[in-house]
Amino acid sequence: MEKSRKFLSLGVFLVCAFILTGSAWAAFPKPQGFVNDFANVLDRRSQSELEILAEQLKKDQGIELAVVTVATTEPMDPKEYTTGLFNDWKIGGPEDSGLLLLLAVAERAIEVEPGYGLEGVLPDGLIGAVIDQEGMPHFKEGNYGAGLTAMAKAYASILAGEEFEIAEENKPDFGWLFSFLIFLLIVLLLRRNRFYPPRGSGGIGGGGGSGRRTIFIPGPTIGGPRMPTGRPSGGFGGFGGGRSGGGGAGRRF
Amino acid sequence: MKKGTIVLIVIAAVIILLGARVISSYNQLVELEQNVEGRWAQVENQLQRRADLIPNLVETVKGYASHEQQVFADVAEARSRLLAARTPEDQMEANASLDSALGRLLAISEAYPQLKADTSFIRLQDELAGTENRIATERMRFNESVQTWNTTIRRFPMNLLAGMFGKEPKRFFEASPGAQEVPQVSF
Repeated sequence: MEKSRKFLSLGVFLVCAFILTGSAWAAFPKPQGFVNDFANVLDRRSQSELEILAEQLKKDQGIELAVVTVATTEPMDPKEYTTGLFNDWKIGGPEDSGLLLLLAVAERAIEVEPGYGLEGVLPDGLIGAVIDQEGMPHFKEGNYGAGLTAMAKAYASILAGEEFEIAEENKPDFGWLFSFLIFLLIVLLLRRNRFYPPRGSGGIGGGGGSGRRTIFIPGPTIGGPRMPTGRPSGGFGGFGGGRSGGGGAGRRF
Repeated sequence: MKKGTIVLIVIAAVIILLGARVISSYNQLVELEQNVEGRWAQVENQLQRRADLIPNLVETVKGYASHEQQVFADVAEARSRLLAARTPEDQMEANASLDSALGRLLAISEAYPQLKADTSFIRLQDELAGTENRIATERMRFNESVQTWNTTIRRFPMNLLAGMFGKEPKRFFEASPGAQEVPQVSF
């Protein structure tokens, strides 16, 4: 009688212990570098572009950019997973200057989370606007690499102190029309004068396009030849111990 | 005489050891309680941040849906209740009613396509969603610190000490139903 009761309580204990540890089992993968394509959806070029961009950010401003793709974030929802991963990897230096771009394929979700230190430069509204303008058009077509690269470039230019222009959705954009009219005018003027300058030496032109800004990203100015894969040499030493508080923005595509 | 001295020394040593143990345990209690309070301050920060976002959000919605007066009044009332609340308990309760009022405010935006397409509304919604995620994160960290506190003061022998200094278990910050659903911006 006494013995069976002991066994029973031991059994209950074991079951409880099992249930309690179950939730802690959802461990995160280990970081392999700044770019972690766990879902295997990035093309070679985007991957190396992203790696170069991240290394540049780290070198110039001490900001750690992590780009992660996962097949699924189950059993967590994408936002929870993003916050969890950020703080598990400790992305960002001592000033909590980290930025995480996470793409979940099954959930069709993109989540961007800044560390505490970047919340001022990257308010959630701006983060969301960059996703809408730079990422979403690519993601909807399944071009994950192109979308993540465009987003990373936009964030890098914002972090470098440049203004990001948010496209006004209500106002129709007449920028292209204006450029086109000028172009037409010039052509007409030239026609009338029957004067064609040799090899088109005019300084005008190329002013078309919509209201989208092209963002200038300083290319890698390292003297040596560029490694095609862009892998950081000597393995990845891990992130710098940054923390985040769950901010940022996300979208489903 | 010699025997008496030894006994005295042993008693003194036991008292000193016990005293040291009590002091270090007490310091541990103080540290844990400070931790809970610090975590709560973080939650408060985020609640405040959300309260600060609300007037702008309401103004934007008003521009498109001016006749939804009831919802605006509910939101304003819940917001001022949150700002007036002083104790964590009051703040938790006021926050729950703000959650539901805000949910209704965002729900009416569904009926106005032009509002949904407004760039500043989208930005505000992102800010709000981000802040709600921050509240969720800080709430989780707060609850973890409460968990540690509650476990510590209920364990033997700490429960004796906690009882002596009148330390009580603290309340968790429960998420109000529906608050888990972070407003999603979708197209």
